[in-house]
Amino acid sequence: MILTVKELASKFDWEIVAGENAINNEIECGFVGDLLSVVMAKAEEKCAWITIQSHINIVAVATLVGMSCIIITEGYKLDLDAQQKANEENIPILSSKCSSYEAVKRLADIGIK
Amino acid sequence: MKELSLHLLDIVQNSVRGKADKIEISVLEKPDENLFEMVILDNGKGISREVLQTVKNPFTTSRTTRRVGLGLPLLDDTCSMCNGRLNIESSEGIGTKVMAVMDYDHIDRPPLGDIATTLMGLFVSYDNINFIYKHIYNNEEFIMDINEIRQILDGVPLTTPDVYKWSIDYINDNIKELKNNNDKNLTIISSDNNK
Repeated sequence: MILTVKELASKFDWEIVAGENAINNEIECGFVGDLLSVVMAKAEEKCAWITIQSHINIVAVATLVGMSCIIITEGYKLDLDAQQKANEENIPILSSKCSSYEAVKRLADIGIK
Repeated sequence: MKELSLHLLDIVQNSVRGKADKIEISVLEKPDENLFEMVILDNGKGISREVLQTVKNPFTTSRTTRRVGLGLPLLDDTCSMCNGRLNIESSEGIGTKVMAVMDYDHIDRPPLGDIATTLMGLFVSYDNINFIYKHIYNNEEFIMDINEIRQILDGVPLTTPDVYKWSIDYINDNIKELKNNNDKNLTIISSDNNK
């Protein structure tokens, strides 16, 4: 099942906190991780990345990998410079209060590989 | 990165790209002061004042193949996560000093990892660069000057299997020795107290 970032956000009521211009990006798969070097090496293009990190480096990693969106869990607040950069780079970022585990479960439940 | 030696490798590559021919690498372990420090000092081309201000930003990079550079930003994260900081000082034409400071006991501080293999990787890959490695554990110190070793080897390459293996053991043994000596001193102090 292929979903857009916009559809995903509205489905779970996750707030879009940056990168609104690119919310029609399609999500093809998922990845979860907080150690950026590992994410850089292992995450796949067009994935939705679930993490608790919220600083500008996540935007760099997402740009590098070519991700469809980032989902910040546990209600962590996105840094202001990260928000600006994500808008510039067209990386949609969603914010969710649930845990990374819960977010993965929901993505899996709706059939994202 | 799961190990600090990988961060170290990454930062030293910056020095290499900056055309340094002398690179001093120091690892300071001071558990008594809850201090861990990694310093990389080079005589490369340096960083201009403008770039220096943005160097911790991942969208600053000296690379031309891609727009994003994460070496310093990732190390900066690791330092802040471990209640420390990353200091970068540089003068154009003189060189750059990168200092990563962390709490020794911080739960999120990655282990140093396989420093011997990391160093040998550098020594072997860049045989025109004079590397000096310094490892400190509390008050004990180990210094290795790769040019001295190259002189002794007198043209025999570091990649010769026996030489390579000896070098790895030499680094590991000396670091282990620092900790042993430190512990020995501790025993003496505590037995003195018992008198």
